[in-house]
Amino acid sequence: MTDGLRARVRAGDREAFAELYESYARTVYNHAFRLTGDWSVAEEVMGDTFLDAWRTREQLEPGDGTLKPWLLGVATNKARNANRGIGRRLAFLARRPPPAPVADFADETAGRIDDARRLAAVRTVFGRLRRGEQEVLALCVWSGLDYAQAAEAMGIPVGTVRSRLSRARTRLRKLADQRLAEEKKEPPHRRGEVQREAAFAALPFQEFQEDPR
Amino acid sequence: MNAAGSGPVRAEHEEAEREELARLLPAPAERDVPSAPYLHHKDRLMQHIDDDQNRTSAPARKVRRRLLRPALLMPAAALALAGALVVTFTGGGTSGDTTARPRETATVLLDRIAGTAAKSDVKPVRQDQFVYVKSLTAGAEMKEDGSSRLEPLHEREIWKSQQVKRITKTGEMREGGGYAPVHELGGSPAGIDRPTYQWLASLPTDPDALLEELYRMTEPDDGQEKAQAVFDQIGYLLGESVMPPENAAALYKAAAKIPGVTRHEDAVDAAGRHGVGIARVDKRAWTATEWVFDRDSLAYLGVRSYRTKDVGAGRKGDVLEETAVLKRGIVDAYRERPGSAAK
Repeated sequence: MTDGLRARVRAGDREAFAELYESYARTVYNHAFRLTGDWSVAEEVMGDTFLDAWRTREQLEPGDGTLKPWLLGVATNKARNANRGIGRRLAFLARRPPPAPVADFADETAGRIDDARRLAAVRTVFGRLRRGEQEVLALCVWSGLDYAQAAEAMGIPVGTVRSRLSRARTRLRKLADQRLAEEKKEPPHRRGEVQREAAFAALPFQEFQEDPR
Repeated sequence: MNAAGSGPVRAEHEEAEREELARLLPAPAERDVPSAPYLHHKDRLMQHIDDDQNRTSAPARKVRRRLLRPALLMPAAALALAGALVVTFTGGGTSGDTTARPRETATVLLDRIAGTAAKSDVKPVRQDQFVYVKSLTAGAEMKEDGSSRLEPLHEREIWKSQQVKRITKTGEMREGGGYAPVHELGGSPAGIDRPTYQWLASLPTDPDALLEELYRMTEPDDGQEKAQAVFDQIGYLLGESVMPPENAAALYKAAAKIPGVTRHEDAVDAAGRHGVGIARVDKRAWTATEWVFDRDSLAYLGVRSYRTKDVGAGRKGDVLEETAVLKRGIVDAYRERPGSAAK
């Protein structure tokens, strides 16, 4: 990161924004995808995030800290908005777990089917968390912010970040325990490797759907 | 809640917790931004910066401000009128009962709307066609503290696939310049979340049976009344879709049976068109959803939702979402518009 980027961004320096975009477009894009579950929405959220960063540059706190929390905070608000509007009208995935997607990857290669299944499984579990928990988890665990940075990004107290993560963990542990109980009843699947890699990856969708919160 | 927490013990605990969470729910694989959109959004950003720096009073900004005006000013007016004008409906064959309750006036109006809808001329839509809707819309960006900021009103065009089977690309959308595909991970069959003409045509036309079905199919959001969710669902089904006249009529008649539905004498849609409103207040979330109809033709004009009470930093009257339908039709291909060939 270039020295003084924050100061130059605050001052409205054009080149600083080019640099900001080059450094963080990918990070923002992936964060937006994790929150919305849709790459084309993520792309819009990413584009809008930088426009918003430009518009609100003067509200940025002075200092020399990384700008990542700020950008991810803007992106989180954008994604929440995208989920709201589109979620209602077009019923994107974020609103409720999708029906079992098994047969419909017919035109995909085998490897992509596994990727897609795994992604869908992660999203199904993710979808079981509350919105606030999802956001904090995506920021702290998937985008690597520490608790204080996540608090800065969201404009909430650190204690709230902590309690949301703690609730998310409790919830995920419970789901993992259910899964272990299932495994004891049944011999392991052939997808053993995938299961070790991602705790929930190969799980049948019904298990989650039968236990609404 | 104290904001401290940077001690070494805390930090260790944080690290352990994050590690466990990462194990429980690994991050989805990262992707690069594809190069075309990457460059597009960068250009857009740079262009925006240049525009802002070169022009002190850009024409585009004036237009935006003018467009924003009705959106920001009307809700308060609509609310004030709504409170004052719970009056008897006199135009539709009622006996002029001056003690009529608001519930009745909404019911009478919805019946009239249903009657008009039943007589409308809608040609059946084939599965290989697309429903086209052009609208003027704005959504509010919600903050943690309850405050919200309404984005500028903008035009949106959407093309919705009418395929009944499960598909992953469910439509295309044009919003803010470019076209974007609408994808649904895992695919989506026609249904309550993707209401195609054929699916809508398959719904019961008896209002009671239909309402029962809608209650069964609709899941309220967190903190939302079930009745409100069903009312909103009906609005969603009527808003950006095309369906047989008898199904549209049945939806309006079903809406009339939902408790708490009221009639507003003066309602305004996002495009600034005045009409008559049908609204319902969610007494759990303290928001209202209001549909606006043309006073004479009783055609559906649009929908708006707003807060009915201060909540946190959110203020009564804050508009959360509004959409005015400008044009609706059937086309044979993506990016084609009614009455014109493909672009």
